[in-house]
Amino acid sequence: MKKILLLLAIFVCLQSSYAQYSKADLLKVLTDHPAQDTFRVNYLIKLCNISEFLRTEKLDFANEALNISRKINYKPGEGYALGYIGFFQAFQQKGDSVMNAAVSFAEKLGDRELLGYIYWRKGAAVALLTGGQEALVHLYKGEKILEETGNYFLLSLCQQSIGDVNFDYLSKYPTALEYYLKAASSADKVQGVNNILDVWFSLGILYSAVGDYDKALAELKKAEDYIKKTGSGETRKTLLYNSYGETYRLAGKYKEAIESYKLSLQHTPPEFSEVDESNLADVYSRVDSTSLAYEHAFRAFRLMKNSANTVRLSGWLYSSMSRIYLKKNMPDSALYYGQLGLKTSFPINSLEFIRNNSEALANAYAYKKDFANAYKYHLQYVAYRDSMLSSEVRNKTTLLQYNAEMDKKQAEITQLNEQKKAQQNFLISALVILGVIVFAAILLLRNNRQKQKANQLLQKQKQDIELLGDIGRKIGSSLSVETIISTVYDNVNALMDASIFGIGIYHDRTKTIDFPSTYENGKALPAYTNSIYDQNRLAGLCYISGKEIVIGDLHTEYANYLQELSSPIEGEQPSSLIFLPLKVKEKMFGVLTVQSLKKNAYSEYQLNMLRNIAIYAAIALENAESFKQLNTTLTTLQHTQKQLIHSEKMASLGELTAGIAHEIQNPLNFVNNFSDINKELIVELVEEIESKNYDQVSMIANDIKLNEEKINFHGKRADGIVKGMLQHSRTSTGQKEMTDINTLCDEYLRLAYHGLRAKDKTFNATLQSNFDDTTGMISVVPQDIGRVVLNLLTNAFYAVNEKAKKNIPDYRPTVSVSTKRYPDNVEIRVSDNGGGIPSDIIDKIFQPFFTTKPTGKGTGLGLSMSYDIVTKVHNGDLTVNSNEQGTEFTIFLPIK
Amino acid sequence: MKVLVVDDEADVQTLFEQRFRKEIRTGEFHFVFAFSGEEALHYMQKNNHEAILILSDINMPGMSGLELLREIKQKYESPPPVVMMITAYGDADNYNQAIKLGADDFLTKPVDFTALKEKLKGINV
Repeated sequence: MKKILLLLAIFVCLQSSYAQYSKADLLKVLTDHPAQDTFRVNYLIKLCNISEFLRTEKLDFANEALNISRKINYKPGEGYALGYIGFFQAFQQKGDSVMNAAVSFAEKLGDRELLGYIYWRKGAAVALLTGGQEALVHLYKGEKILEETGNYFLLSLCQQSIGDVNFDYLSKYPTALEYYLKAASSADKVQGVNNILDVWFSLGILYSAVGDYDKALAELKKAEDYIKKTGSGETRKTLLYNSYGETYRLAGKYKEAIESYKLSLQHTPPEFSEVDESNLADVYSRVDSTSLAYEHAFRAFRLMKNSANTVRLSGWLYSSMSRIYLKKNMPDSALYYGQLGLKTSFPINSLEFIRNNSEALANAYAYKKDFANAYKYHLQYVAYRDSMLSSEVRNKTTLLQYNAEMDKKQAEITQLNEQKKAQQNFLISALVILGVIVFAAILLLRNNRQKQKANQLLQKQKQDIELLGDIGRKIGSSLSVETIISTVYDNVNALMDASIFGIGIYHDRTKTIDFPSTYENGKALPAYTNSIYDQNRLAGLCYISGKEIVIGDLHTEYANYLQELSSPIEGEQPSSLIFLPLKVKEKMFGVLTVQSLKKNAYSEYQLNMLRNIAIYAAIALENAESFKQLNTTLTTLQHTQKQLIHSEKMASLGELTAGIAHEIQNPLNFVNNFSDINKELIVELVEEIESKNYDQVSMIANDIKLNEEKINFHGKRADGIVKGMLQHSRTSTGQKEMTDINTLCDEYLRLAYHGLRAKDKTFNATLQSNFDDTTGMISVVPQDIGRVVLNLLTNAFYAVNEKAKKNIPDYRPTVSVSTKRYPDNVEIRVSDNGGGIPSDIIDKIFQPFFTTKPTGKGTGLGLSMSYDIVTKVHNGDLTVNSNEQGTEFTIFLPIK
Repeated sequence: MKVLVVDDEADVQTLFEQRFRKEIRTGEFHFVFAFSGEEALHYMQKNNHEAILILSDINMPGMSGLELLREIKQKYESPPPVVMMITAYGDADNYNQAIKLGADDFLTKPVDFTALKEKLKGINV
């Protein structure tokens, strides 16, 4: 994965208290204190938790601590040392035997704090070995125990790990945020030594993951200042620059990201550099520096082989490889890596990797003009992108944040209430005992009233915060611009004096900001438009600068913004104005404005509320835009699909016409020749009549009659063939009519066979038909059922032909059609003795676009159309039975 | 002269019997009919060298006319019977394949019996 956070965070312990010391200082304590006693053990264990040391060094500390502890029989020391050694084994993927020994050791010893610590370590080990869900079981146990024992330092580390597991392994961002905030609050309770730096990193990464880059950068800035102040070591800097890189990468600022990743690489210990290498590969691939991307990707691959990060990194790296290959115009390699990436990403359930690989695959397939697969992966990409960045996730995070703030306020309220009570008690006792200290009483009463006021204000703010959550949900759920504007207006009106309200939407084509509906005193004004270059309009100024404009008195303040004060396009001239940019991820969607005829109508508090609403509105507008884009894509794809279905029909028609050309010659042969014969016979007849040879006359007349019947029969046969062809090419009328199923099957059997023969002279097969005479007529759409039978037969002939090409001795390609009448059903069976359908694909054959034929030979729609015709149009059933001896399709058609 | 006619359509028998009714009456031609390639081979085995002339359709279920042609030309070397192919496919591909396998002539459907008679009489001489 592209961030180092989890692994380092687990190693970090007590780092803050030692951060200002150098490695040499820390080691000096050991040389100064060589005695093998509990002090040395405890100190060694502390060193195990300091991130300035390499893992191997820490392993040496732990082993020494273990040896001394056993020698002097210092049980807690032994337990803590085992905990680290067990974790180290898990990190090297060497199993969990030591960890399990550590757990049972701690359980037996009954030291609660040690047990809490061990569960935390165990959780981290399980995360590395088996995955996030199981890790949480242990981490939650650890959290509970550490909470009971009141060791907030270890508790904060454990909560941080819970956040990391939720974020890194499970992609549960809201839970991750909840636990990072918990970790921060636990760290706050620790005097001096605390874990706050790591929490800031985690929050920074989390905010960038959900697209709130400003917040992310703010958290990282806090961390940067802290690092500068304390003079922390290399690993902290690596972490910092890596986090900056992540934030810039996610924000799409690739140049800054590359700079940050490079800085991170400078400070990274060699054991971690595969992460930065893979990150550089990704960003270079996005800025089209293919050869640099390639170089970094391969370096990352090499390093990854010896790393515990393999499982988590490969999905990420494969998606970059896929992108790089596509840019090099090598779509097949791109497909290979994309598929590999998906395969490794699903087991670890990483939304981001699945999203990246799906996108890469969709692009590669589109490049290859395989639009069916491109569409499939595009849908998957959109689904995963949305579940990462959807307004739901964002709203949840925002809400959680408000919850945290609300908790803080609630705590203040409780505190105030308690103070109030204490004061009341004091007042009463003062009155009873002294009775005269009126001045003090008045003073206290006044004080009390103030507190109540503050209390009321806090209650109001709490209500507003809840309201804001509600508004966010309402705005976020609309997908049309008009609904968004009117929902926002309704809610703004409830919060402040919005005499004039409007949302301007930016149009890139015209470079204008359009106000589709503006409200003045509740009435909708006509739509109007501002050019963004109009220097005398605040909307344009706000849009171009991307900055807020807040004016309390337009007549005195306008000169700060405008050259002159022009009258409004619609309505009255306001005094107070607020213009807020509508911005998501650096993309501007337009502006929101609220105006009042009163001066200084808006408080700082209302402005804050409006800022939040502007964020919701911008997100909603972004969603509406993506929704519109998605709809357009969908329409295009539906159109393509229609064309594909049409071409499937045309393809089967092509197969038919060749067969028909032959098929029509046979009846024509009889019609021509028998009529010629009759012509001769009539001449003979006349001769015989003249010679009064009447025996001959009657014989010849009989022959003429028989021949005439044959002419008639074959004429009708030719007619039937032509009609059949016309029927097949016509769009089905969808009208059911009484149809002789045996005739229909026989006709299409011949057509399919001759069609194939016409294309491939070497092809030959035995045709068997076994028609049940009692089948009779049933009501079907004849063109549709004909198409189904033809499709099944074409497939059958294809299968036997493929097998015949293998030159198996004594193999006789055979295709059979049979019908059978049951009380309620008619059954049509089409079977062949071809190679059969492999069992791993048999459940896919009725899916649209699935085909085993080489590219260009089949549309992959035949069987899916057949299935729809039989089951949807005729309420019947189409089943398949296949083994190595051949395949049999059975159509059941209900008689009624 | 004995002529073996091979075609999967039963009406071919009536057609030939009518078209050649005079020749049959005079004993100039004698016709036997087979309705598949397999049946034709069976007849050839049973009545060795009786048929001098074979007229065969190409498109038949089971053994095709071309396979029959190959069999006959391989098995009955001296003197091989004359084999004429009659088919609905008049394309060059089919024609070349038949000639390569040793067909003596190649006719297309609908059959021009006047021309066919001329050809048969040519062989008879």
